[in-house]
Amino acid sequence: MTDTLFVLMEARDGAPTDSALALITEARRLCEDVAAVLVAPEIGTAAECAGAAGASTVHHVPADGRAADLIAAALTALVATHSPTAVLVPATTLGNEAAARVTARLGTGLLADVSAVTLADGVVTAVKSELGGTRLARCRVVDGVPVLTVRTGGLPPAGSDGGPAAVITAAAAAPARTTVVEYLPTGGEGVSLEDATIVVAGGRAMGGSEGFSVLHELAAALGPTAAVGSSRPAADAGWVPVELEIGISGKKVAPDLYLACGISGASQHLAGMSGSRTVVAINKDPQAPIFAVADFGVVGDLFEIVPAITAAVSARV
Amino acid sequence: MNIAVLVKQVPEDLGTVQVTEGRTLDRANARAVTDPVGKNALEAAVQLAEATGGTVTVITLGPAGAKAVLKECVSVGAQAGVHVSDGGLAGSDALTTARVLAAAIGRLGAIDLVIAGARSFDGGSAAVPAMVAELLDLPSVTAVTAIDSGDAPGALLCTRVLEDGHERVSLPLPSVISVDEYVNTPRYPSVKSKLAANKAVFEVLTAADLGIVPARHAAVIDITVPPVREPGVMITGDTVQDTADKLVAALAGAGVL
Repeated sequence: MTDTLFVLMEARDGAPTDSALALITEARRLCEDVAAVLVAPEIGTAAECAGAAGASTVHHVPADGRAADLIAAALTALVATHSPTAVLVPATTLGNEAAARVTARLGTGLLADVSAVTLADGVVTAVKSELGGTRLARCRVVDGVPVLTVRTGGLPPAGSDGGPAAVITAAAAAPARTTVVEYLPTGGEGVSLEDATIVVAGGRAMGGSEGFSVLHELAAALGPTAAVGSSRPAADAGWVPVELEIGISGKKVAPDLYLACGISGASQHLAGMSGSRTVVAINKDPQAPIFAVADFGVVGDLFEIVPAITAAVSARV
Repeated sequence: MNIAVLVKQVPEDLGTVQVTEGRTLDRANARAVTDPVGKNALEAAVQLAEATGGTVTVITLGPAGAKAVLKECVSVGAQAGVHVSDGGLAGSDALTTARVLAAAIGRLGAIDLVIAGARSFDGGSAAVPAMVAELLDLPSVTAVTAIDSGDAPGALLCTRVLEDGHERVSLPLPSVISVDEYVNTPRYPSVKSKLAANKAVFEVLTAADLGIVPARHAAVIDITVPPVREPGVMITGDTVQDTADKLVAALAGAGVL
């Protein structure tokens, strides 16, 4: 039997998400044969996008792709027919829910929120952070088809040199029990936190939603792959939308550059940003714990320093 | 509305948890507290029960000390608690935990809604609530930030967080939801309610009572402490702009700009 990895391909308005495509490319690095699974009313651009990213096949299940129970039913049926080596799912809100349901249906093991996957001799091994990032565990599934939710924030962008994938249309799934009444995208254009290569994050010292404008100006100067995030206190206070929170209870990000502005560096926040390659800390308090994990530190008032950085970045272009 | 709430006990400080030679996590030295997001789950349940009438029953899985979770929940509005306590379930993975909790919910009779925290403070797999939903064959919405009991009886309107925004989802009852910390602010107990909760008696069940044979679905190969980042360079300049220029030059030199 040839190894095959299944990847759940989430899509929005007919277009696969960047995180799903990045995961397909990652799966292709591990395995010759990658099959994407798309649960959506229409196939849209999936065959081209998934093929370019490295999938050889797209299993299209015509159904409401926003309902986790339908995704789980579709994946379970496909796993039963094709016995893949493992099922990889982006560790998103919907992906986490669908993967948990698939695992319960299959009675197999779930490796959740993993940051690295290896495949050797048909056995999938994953690295996941435990206890809020204070430990790293290498683990594998004992029996049955492993289901993994994978952090996509640290993955390189999807490949683009493959030809279109072959499409196999599965039977339509039952109507969803839940109904999406309204979708409210996060305000502002630009890249999502998970896909950003540069994250400019603000904490309690921002003082209010107006304070975040200096961070937005810096992110704009840094280019289209920069995004603004926040620590828990700033999101708690309602200064930014809750989906911008980075930390143990929020998003996990792994950008090339992380600028922590007015963030003290509580362990809960560090757990969400620990995958960042280069960290810059800007804080008034020279004793702030964030400096212990920063590659570059600046002590001072962020409302003076951040605009100066914006000016310096703009001057480079 | 009759509601079951799933709450667990977690270490207050994750750094105090020890890793044993058997590659399991030893929480004996870690001070145990009620999972913070579990308090949000309970508060959501109590608010819904207050608005619609009904009961709130808390279920927890854990060693003898986990009874403290049930007491705390009763002190802030739950009517009853079920404690699943069984040494054979120590260190259970998400699926075994979900099987236990689903079986315990199944014993409660007619339940309209199950509420849990979206992501526990220690485990953080965000998997158990959806697994419970699957095992009970119920619909679910996870990562809920707002609940509206709305005008339609037998349904809830939930707002959930996504990577690229929010969505509002209509959910028929009975069903399962998981809530995050933004859904509400948990209330505090009064001295009187704490004293009353101390007298509460809880049903205690074992895996055998629930017909569950503990099974391990995943194996840990090793557990390590992630490498500690070394503190880097402090950048200073004659003026704020000079400092900023030096920082940007250093970042360019490091290849990240």
